[in-house]
Amino acid sequence: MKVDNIQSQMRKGVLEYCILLIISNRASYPSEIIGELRKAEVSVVEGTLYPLLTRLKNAGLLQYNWVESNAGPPRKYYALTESGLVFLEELRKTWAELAGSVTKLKDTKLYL
Amino acid sequence: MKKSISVSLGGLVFNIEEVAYEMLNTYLESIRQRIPDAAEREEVLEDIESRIAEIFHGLVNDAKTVITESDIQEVIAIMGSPEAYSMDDSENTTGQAESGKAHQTDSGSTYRDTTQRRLFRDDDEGIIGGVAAGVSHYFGVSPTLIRAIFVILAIVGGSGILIYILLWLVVPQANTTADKLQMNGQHVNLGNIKEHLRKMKDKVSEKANSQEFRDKIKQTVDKGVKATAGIGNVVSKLVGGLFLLGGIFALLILVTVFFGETGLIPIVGAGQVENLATMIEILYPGDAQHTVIFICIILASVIPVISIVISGIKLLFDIRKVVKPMVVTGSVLWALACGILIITGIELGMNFKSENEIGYSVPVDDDSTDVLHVNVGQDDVFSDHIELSRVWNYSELIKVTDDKIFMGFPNLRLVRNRSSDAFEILVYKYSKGSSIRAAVDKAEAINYDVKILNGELILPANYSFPVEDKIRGQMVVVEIRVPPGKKVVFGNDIDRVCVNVEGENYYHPVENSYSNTVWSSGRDGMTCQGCDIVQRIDR
Repeated sequence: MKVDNIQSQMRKGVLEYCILLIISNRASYPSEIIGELRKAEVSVVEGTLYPLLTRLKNAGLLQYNWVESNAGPPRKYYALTESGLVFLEELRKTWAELAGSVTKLKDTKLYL
Repeated sequence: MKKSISVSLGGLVFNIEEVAYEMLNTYLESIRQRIPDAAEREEVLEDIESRIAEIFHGLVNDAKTVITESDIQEVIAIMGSPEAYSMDDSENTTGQAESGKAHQTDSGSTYRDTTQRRLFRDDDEGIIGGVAAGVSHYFGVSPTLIRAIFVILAIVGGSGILIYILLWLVVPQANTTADKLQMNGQHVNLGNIKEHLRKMKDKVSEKANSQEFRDKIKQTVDKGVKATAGIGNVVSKLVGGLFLLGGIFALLILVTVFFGETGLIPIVGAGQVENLATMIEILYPGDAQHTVIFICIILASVIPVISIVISGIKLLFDIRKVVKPMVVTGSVLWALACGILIITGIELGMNFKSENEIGYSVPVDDDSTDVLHVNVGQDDVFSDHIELSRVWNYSELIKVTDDKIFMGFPNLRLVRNRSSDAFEILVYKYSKGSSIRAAVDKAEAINYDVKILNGELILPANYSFPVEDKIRGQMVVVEIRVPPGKKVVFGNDIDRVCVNVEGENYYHPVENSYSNTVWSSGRDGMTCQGCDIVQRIDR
């Protein structure tokens, strides 16, 4: 049981939620998403993002549009689908519950 | 001057240094291996290539037109190490414990996770050479357990020491941080990739052959490796394990045969077996060579076994390092040892070339006696419990002292006397030698004194000859010629010699024992009186 192991799993768990949150604000391309994550102090490299986005897309939660870029090849702009919105709502609830539970537990002093 | 290649990435063309190309290629390849799903893999790689193209695009300008190694490092820093691409959290939440395994992909091929544990020696936690500590990391058990196993193996036959030394030689020491991480099965960071690429760069720049040819080979090898990796890994582990176990077992036996009590080995049996060094001494001519021959026998037999053990360890723990000086030295030593053994073997064979027999007549006190009692004297050399029918090989019947070689079970031949009416007793001594003269000398030197005491013929249970004579097939046969109508009575201990009766018609019920039997000379040969007739043997 190593702390960095748990930490990385916790991060992985909320990463998809974070990404969906960013995309729900506006359609974004991967390096933009990374930028947003960094701003929010979520430490993640781009490498982690690509497989995740592809997976979410294949699950029908995301869709993308090709947009020409003058900084290189065309970019994939990702946006939420209908089911993506529903999914995000589910995650939002779960997160609220989890955060609430953890806060409660932190504040409760146990006398044994 | 550096060679550069032109590559197309995300629909754009870039000039890239050859070394940088290799680095990028390795990077993409290791990402490829981390995405198990084939369709997903292609799409992700396309995205990644596209993104890398974008980064490259930002890097090149009119002044800088070629992508260099440091550019690739920058790309890797932005994109993250190949581990970052692993998405195996959905199938595998146990993380570390599982990360050492090869993952099955959809296409049926397997790949190896670079986070796999590898066997290293751990000098930091080690006591002698860090072998036990390293092995314990590999299996994830306490080093104390491994040490205990080594100690037990060292006590039982000493193989633990040998195995330890072998592992010490074969298993690389964990020097770099990456080694230490891999030893513990932890993720390898960017530093390791760089190191790996640096090595690769050296290799690449060494070969200035045509690019096409190299690409072709690389592709073919890659394909082959991928296709066979799955089956290959399992088979090689299996074979490695078998090699290791078989080799260790063989080593155990060899070590015991060479240095220890051969009696420890169940298949050889009784404690009379002399050890190998003594056997050489009493067999090979001359004195100076004995040590050489002993060492040669050890080398000739142990080197192949050790190489099997080493290849077993290598297969099992996936060590690819080849210690060239060790291989060369081993091969040369082995060839040398075999050569010496062949030459000395031929020389030894020449010592058995000639053969000679000498016969002595033993006077019988009372010519007119009708009954001759025959018995075997007390044996002060060999155990009383030896039975000829149970003797596994004749080495059990050899005993060597400072000046004499003793051998058990002389022969006794009982025949009819066709030419005389009196008992005749003859002692024949046989030997071989390099010449007739040598054979005669050796036969004469055999010491075997039969005695007649109170009308009873006493045969010694063993014969001896000087240790300098070596073993040259020396043999003793006592022949008793029984005149018609007269009898021979065997005593209780007669089975301590190897009895052979002329025209013997009877098979003896109790383990072929001749003990206390009476034989009379008749027309058909010797017949037994008082023997239970169990089976008639028709000649």
